[in-house]
Amino acid sequence: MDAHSLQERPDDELVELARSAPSGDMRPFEILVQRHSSKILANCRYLTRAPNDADDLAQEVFVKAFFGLKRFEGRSKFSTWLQRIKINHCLNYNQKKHGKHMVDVEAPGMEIEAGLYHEALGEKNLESLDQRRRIEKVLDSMSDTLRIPLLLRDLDGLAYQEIADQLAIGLSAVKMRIKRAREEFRELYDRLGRGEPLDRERRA
Amino acid sequence: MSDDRFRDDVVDDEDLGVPVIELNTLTEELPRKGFFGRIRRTIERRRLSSDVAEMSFGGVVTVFLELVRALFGMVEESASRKRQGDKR
Repeated sequence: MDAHSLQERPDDELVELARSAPSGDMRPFEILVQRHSSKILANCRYLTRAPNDADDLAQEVFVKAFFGLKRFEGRSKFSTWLQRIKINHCLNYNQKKHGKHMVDVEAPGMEIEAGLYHEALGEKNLESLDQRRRIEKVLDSMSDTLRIPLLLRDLDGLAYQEIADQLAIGLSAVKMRIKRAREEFRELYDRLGRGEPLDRERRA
Repeated sequence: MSDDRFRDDVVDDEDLGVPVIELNTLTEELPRKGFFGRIRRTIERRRLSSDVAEMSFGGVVTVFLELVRALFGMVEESASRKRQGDKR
């Protein structure tokens, strides 16, 4: 089977091929990785706010998926199943990271760093930043409380109830957070567009 | 993620604001070169270590069975000698 014919196959067929392939033949799984890597990478980057670790996180999501293929029953789409692995992996990463190292922006000594941040932003011509850089900056300045539900809804397209289950919070809390997150995103995004610096203080 | 300020109000779906469609541009970012190569190497490494782990478990079982067999052999041989000694 050549790579071209594999490219045309839908996910569920590739999953079957990847499961039944001899251990050395990774081509079907490679196509699945190519197909989904951009979204997984973006999610890992913005759910965790860890650009340096995003690549490793995304790789680990695919490694987990590979070894979990035997258990994948096909009751949901492959992309949905992969999405669940990714969300669990990233939220676990966040928990571990916050457990080890939690920086309080209001802690003594942080004013200096915050000042440098504003200065650095001011020196750049914010209007010249492309859209993705603006989005990145806005997301990085938002709190986990608002950023994560927003990404799960507007980037991943999860249902409100699924988000509530993933984050172990109530449905109304999810809706309220998404509403506020959208408002905050829009406000900060527009502010950056006008060349105004972002307030680095995390909003709850 | 447990902020009670967000738990009080129930919001209707239509009041949730406009989705941030700009987020879709984030998925245009491509992984670094060699992304799949690194995944493949990790998978191969884990397969290998899993094989080694299974092999060593099998090895331990084999050695244990050999030891048990040798022990029974020794006991049987000793009992057989004793029986022969008693006959004499």
